[in-house]
Amino acid sequence: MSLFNSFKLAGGAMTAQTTRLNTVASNLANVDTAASDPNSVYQARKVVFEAVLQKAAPGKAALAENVQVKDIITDKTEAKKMYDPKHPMADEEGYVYMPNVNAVEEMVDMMSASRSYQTNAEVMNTAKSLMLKTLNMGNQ
Amino acid sequence: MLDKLTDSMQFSAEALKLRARRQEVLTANIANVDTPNYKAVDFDFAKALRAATGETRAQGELANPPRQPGLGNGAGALAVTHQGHIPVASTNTLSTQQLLQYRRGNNASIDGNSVDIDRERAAFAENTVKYEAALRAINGRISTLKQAMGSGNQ
Repeated sequence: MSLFNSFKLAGGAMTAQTTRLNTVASNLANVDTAASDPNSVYQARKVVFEAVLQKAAPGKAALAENVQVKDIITDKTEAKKMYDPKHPMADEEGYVYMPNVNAVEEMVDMMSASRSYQTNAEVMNTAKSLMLKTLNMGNQ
Repeated sequence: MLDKLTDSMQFSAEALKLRARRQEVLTANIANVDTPNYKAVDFDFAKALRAATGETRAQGELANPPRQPGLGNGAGALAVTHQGHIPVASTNTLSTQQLLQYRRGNNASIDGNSVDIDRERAAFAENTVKYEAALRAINGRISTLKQAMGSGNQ
């Protein structure tokens, strides 16, 4: 039954968005984690989603049956190098390395993730109420 | 005899099935709003309904020369080859799968995703209301039949 697939889809999307929200939290928590070595500094994590598609005839549009997290990639852009000799983590030359996390970007990501989560929760509620009404068919 | 009772509901039943199917398609679009390279899909409801109801009507009437099995019917449909056979409508999931198209007119964003969330949500809300409308049509038909059956007893 099609409406049951809606539950699976919306549920999968909610799980994926939760992972994204957790990643944002991890990035934001580490926005000020300094390191004295550019290789050991925290790198921002990004979640990549993937649609699980149903089988379709070649050349035809396929319907997604689930959404999942394909991968969590690390942002490879360079760490921010700051001159701060008084910092306890400063190296011999007086530099500290800060994570490449962009706090504004992360906030936007957070808003987008929570909105998508909300939308999917609403979709699930709609599917539920439709199913309950269908179960009641002919019983009025 | 029973056929005649349920035949009148056949159209609404097909519409309800297709509405449920479309609900799933729109849910898939909404769920994949942040998936890179995902392309929004949808199907033409009117066309799908015409295909679904036309098919059942064609199968409802018994063909006079028995049909060749697997010929003239939709894929996966059961052929009626004997007077005593009861025609079974094929599941229309196959036909909606074939009718599925990529939504046009949306510019894909930089990650290749072509879902317009406002459009999808509007379509979702519309489809929800129309699903309930189809449901109400069936309920109305059922209560009419119940009334007709019960009037003799009073």
